[in-house]
Amino acid sequence: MCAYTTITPVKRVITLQWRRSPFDVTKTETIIDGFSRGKLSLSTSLEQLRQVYEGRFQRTIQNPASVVETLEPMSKMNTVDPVLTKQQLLAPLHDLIGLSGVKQSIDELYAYLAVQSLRSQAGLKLNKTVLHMIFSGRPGTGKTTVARLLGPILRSLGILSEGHVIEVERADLVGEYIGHTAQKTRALLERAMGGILFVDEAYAIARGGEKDFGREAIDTLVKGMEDRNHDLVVILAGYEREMKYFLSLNPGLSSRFPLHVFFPDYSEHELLQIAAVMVRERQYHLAPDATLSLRQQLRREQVREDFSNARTVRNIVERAVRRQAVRVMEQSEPTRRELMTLVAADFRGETDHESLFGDRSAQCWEDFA
Amino acid sequence: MNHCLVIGQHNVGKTLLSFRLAQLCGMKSVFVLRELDSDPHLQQVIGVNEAIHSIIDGTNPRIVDVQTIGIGMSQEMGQPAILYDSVGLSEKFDDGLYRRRQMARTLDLFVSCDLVLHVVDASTLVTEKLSLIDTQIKSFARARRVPYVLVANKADLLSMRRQHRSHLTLRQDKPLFVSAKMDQGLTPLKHVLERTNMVNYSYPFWMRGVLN
Repeated sequence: MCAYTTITPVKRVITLQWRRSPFDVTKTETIIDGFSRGKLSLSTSLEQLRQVYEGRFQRTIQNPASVVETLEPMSKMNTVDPVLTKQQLLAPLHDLIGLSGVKQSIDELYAYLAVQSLRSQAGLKLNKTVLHMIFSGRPGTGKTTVARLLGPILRSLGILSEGHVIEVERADLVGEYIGHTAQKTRALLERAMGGILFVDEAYAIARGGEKDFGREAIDTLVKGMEDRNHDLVVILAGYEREMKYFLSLNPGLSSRFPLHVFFPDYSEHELLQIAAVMVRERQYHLAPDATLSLRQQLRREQVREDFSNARTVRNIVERAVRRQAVRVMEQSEPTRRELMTLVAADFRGETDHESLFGDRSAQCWEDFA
Repeated sequence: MNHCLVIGQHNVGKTLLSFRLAQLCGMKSVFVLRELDSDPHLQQVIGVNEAIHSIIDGTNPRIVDVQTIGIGMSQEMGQPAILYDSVGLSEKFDDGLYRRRQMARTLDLFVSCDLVLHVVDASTLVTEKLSLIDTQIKSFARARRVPYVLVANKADLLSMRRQHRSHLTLRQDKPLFVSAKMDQGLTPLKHVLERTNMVNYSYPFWMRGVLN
């Protein structure tokens, strides 16, 4: 606006004048900047500008009531008996097998939030809570499953407005050229507003080294989290050792994720329970000898390095189902019972990762020789 | 001090229209500031009549910059107005990044201006509808709730019958049929300019931002 300053004589005339909107300046600037760099076409940029302004007017209309609105869900929850709602809310989580530590930490979280809402009702000061989490644990321990369940729970606690879960990985965050990464990450954060952004295998973002765009993705993520720390929960998930390394890379990172939930490995008993549930879900049932054979196989698998807990169980069960199909096809007239039964023979043999195991067994033979 | 933006696609006669408007407001010569990328900006004082003649004769090269035209309004208005003559918006970018930056500048002004004069070419309204870009410009101005006038330029190319018909089809937008070349029908625009300059009612008072 230097044009304006050069032309007009310097005098302060008090007029009610609209120069530039105080809100959404950054938004419009981002759009126009994107247009000038050739990222957006003219029509899309005009469309986005229009959306910004329409949103603005809607928001300004709602503005006086917004303070009341944010408090509303909490007070709503308080009208119902908290204990009853707790049972209903956390039921899907408690239905999961094992994970007692995880359940405990979620319970703690629930109690904390419930007390917060009680405090707000009593007119006490509210603590600002940041609920960004880190889920670490070995593969197949249910990190993704818990994250998916957490969305609705947090919504009904009044922390998130939508409660949807957006699952992303390195490829979704990291772009191909300079500046692309920030744009992509920011878009994802926008999409995740009101819900959960679940970054699977988060350590992979920083894997590329110094010059990789992954660093940029992390920085943008951290910045975005700071900007919109309400109504958004970011969950980083990954394997334990790698996550430790990842957190050590960016010193600000671990302090920004106050909740660290560790997913322990399943015990053998829990794995068997999971297998039983899976079999039941698929409308099969295990013959008594099949349980024994399954247990044997699980023991064999458990000592391996690439053992991925529930996922391996699922692979074993699915493989058994396939084998059972072959076995049943050979029979002339299978009964309904036979169609449902998994026997020990279905579980014998190697699991899915044959190639890996083949290498290993060959090596074993070499050692033996 | 109102900021009025003349916006539209390229080759619809924005520059001529804005010079005509300056002429109508009684300016003999206008202070033109071309906002180039290089610093300082190119400043010149152009006689309005010469400029108009050169544009009509076709001796003037095509203007691709945003140029600012300061219009001093009559004394009882108390405030001068600034007229921005913008670059034509189009989806094609033959002229490369420079053109594009100029268009971004236009959008920048579009976000902040107080009056939008949206110029369309009346002779190309054969499909009896606004084109996509024009529709979007219109809807954005509506979304901003800024005073907005749809100006159908080059009305002298239309027969009365066609003008009447397109008037009917566009009657939602209340188009103003003018001919900048023949200097016809521009007076209402001047009144709009005066009116919006006097009372800036694009926003309610509590939203108008900083006092300056």
